[in-house]
Amino acid sequence: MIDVQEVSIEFPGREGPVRAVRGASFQVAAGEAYGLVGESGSGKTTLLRAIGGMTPVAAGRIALGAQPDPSSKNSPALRLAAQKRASRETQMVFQDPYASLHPGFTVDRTLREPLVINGMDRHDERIAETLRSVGLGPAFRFRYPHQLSGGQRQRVAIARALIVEPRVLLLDEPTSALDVSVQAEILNLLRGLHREHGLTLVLVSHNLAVVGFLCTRIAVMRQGEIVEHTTTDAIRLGHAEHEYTRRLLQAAQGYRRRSA
Amino acid sequence: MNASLLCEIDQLHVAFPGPDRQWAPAVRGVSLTLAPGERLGLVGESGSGKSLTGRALLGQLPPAARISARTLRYAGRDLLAMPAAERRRLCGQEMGMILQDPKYSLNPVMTVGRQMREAWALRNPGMKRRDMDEQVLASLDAVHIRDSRRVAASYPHELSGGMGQRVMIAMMAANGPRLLVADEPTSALDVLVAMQVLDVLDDMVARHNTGLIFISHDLSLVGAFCDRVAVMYAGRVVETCAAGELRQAQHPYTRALLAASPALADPPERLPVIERDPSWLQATEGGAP
Repeated sequence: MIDVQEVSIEFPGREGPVRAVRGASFQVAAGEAYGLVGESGSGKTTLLRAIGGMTPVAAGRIALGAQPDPSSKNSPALRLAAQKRASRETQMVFQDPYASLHPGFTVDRTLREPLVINGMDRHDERIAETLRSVGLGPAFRFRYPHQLSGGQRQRVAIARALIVEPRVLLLDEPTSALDVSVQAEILNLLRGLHREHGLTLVLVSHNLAVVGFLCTRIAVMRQGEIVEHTTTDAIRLGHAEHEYTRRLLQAAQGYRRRSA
Repeated sequence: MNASLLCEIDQLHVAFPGPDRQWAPAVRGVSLTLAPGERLGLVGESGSGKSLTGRALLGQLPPAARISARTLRYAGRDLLAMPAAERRRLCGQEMGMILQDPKYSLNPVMTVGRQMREAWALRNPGMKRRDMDEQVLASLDAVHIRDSRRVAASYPHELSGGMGQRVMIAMMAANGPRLLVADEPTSALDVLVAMQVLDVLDDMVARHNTGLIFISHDLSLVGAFCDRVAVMYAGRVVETCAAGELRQAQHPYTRALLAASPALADPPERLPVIERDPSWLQATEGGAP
């Protein structure tokens, strides 16, 4: 479904381009949940944004499911149509639900806009249906973000992504701005959506326990490179090849006090 | 009054002006004690009143807040009756606070060295500039900052989050405050950096026998770092227990919070979601409303 091949991403810097991601490769099968773990600045969010088509790639190739190879001999119009379909099929949920929703839009308008953009039909029906699938009743439809709690906002953000019937959901730290009690609700929701709709998930997080709850395979990133490809099962057994993964694993097991 | 206690809070109430000229209560009758050298964890969800409780002790509530308490004592002295100037002096010299995000709590237009000297001058009036510079470097070394000279000459935006938080700890803890309120000191940091910052804090607090109030939403972190944990819900303390006994906590809210965070080793099929019982709003520790 997702094929990331030797991808490098650069940003302009004061002294020439800065490489934020260097030669990253991984594949995600359709219906799989894949985790990207690492510290801030490791390039995990940048890589996720590149998969979502929001950040240009300096070298390498990212292919998404039905997307044709750009070097193929299709006409430009066909390529554009394919690109449009790919961007509808890949939706993103951002970290901070306080910043990612338009404060002046009602939930209804937030959900209606992507339907209009993608020329989809049955707007009212779809809005009600999608709200129900993220556990929000019809009463929420005409509320503004400031009338919602953090967890409710993140549900709206997830509904905004789901409403165009994507096949891939890109999740950038979807629960790190939330209380653990609310995090539990959102994680349950995501797991349910993944299982029931066969959605492909790519989850970026610095929290190994959160990644472990949703994902089966994991890539560990550090300073722009993937240092280890591993699985949740291996992590649970305490297996880690790279020294950095071992340190992450140790930290995930909790703080050990030195003083008596 | 108990002479061996560092802080004594009895029936603390904090309220804010709400709509229709009503007062909206945010802290509703919190009672806590802290002994010298003790680490008390204050845990709860956003809006449970944990930060306000810490701020009330330091006299750092927002101006709109209304505070009342049966007792609010620090080292045997009544904080509510104390003149404002005296309280401010205490705040600089004996009490300190570390906030969540060093990006916002350090002065962005002053070098680290300069703002640290400011803090030193407050505690040691008349200290010579050269001695102060030495103290600044020594306290940066003490929080395991390798290149202390470069860091002292840097502006806060030139430092990483973990480095900034260490500077905050160096500033607050170097002189050995008797009371330190750390409000989510690691939640803006990466997990590995957070561990290092906790080590530094651990070290500082142990060395100076500081009474620490550690505010966090992370129950297991507090359980590992502190001696005692008080769990707050909707402006009240619903349960206090020894940190080591957290896993045997009695209150359904504490148990629900513990269960809600996924375990790495063996997470359940569905994470239990907190079913909020209206009676939690009334009951305080010991049962009686």
